[in-house]
Amino acid sequence: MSARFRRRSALAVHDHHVGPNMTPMVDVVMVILIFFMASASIVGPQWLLTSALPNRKAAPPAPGEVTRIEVRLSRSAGRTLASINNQPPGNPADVPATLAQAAGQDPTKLVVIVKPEGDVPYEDVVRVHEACQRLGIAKVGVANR
Amino acid sequence: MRRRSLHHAHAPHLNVTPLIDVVMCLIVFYLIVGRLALTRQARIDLPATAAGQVVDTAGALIVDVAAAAPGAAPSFTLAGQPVTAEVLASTLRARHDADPNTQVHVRADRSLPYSAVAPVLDACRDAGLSSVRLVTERTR
Repeated sequence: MSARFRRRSALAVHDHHVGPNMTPMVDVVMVILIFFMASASIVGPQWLLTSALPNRKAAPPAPGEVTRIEVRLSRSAGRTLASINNQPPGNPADVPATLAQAAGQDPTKLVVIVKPEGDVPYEDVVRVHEACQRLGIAKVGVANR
Repeated sequence: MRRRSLHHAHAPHLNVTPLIDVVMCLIVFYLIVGRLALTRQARIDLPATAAGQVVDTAGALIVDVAAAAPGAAPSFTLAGQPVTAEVLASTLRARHDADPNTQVHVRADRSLPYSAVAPVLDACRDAGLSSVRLVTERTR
């Protein structure tokens, strides 16, 4: 018999696929994957603000070596107020400008002590630290009132 | 005998088994990462700041202060373990005595009042630490 007309078995001609159909499984797995991707918490980048903890027993620095600024944070009528060096309380948004003015040419000679009241939001305390960080004031700390 | 065309091609069959293996690995990855992120971050909404320092956090003690239900006291977590304020103070004191260069990173929820975070700072101060680091989220 000629090779062109050689009889072929049906199994040899067709790719006989055995086993379960994997396509629906892939669909289900994809849905599960998308679910876990969506539910995974995405953590943003973080960084740090250094806050000194003044020791109550430590002697205060000699005047002239550093300029000490006290920022008192208080709460009134649902708003946070900031008082710098016992001045009348004002808008905390004015604190960076005042610190910048006090820092002048040498922010390293400035010491900022933050004294918040208990009901002041923690975020406002962080804002003062952020302002000091922006101005290059390294010596900033939190003290109890 | 009818001639069969050798070009009678059946539809190419895609082997999806390796694809399933890869997808399964991705699922396991997201399961593990999601659980690790949950246990580490402990539901804390950090304050966002545009200024800060990038510091090596290796070896630092991480204290979490998470907001609790209204009227309930905030919860403290030290190195992933829930602790009370007293245990926190004693642990910090012990760690500082063992290593005076111990760094403490405070991760507190932005919605908390300062009075909720003050015990942590007081514990650090009483333990002899001269400074702590406040962890914030970097704004873009």
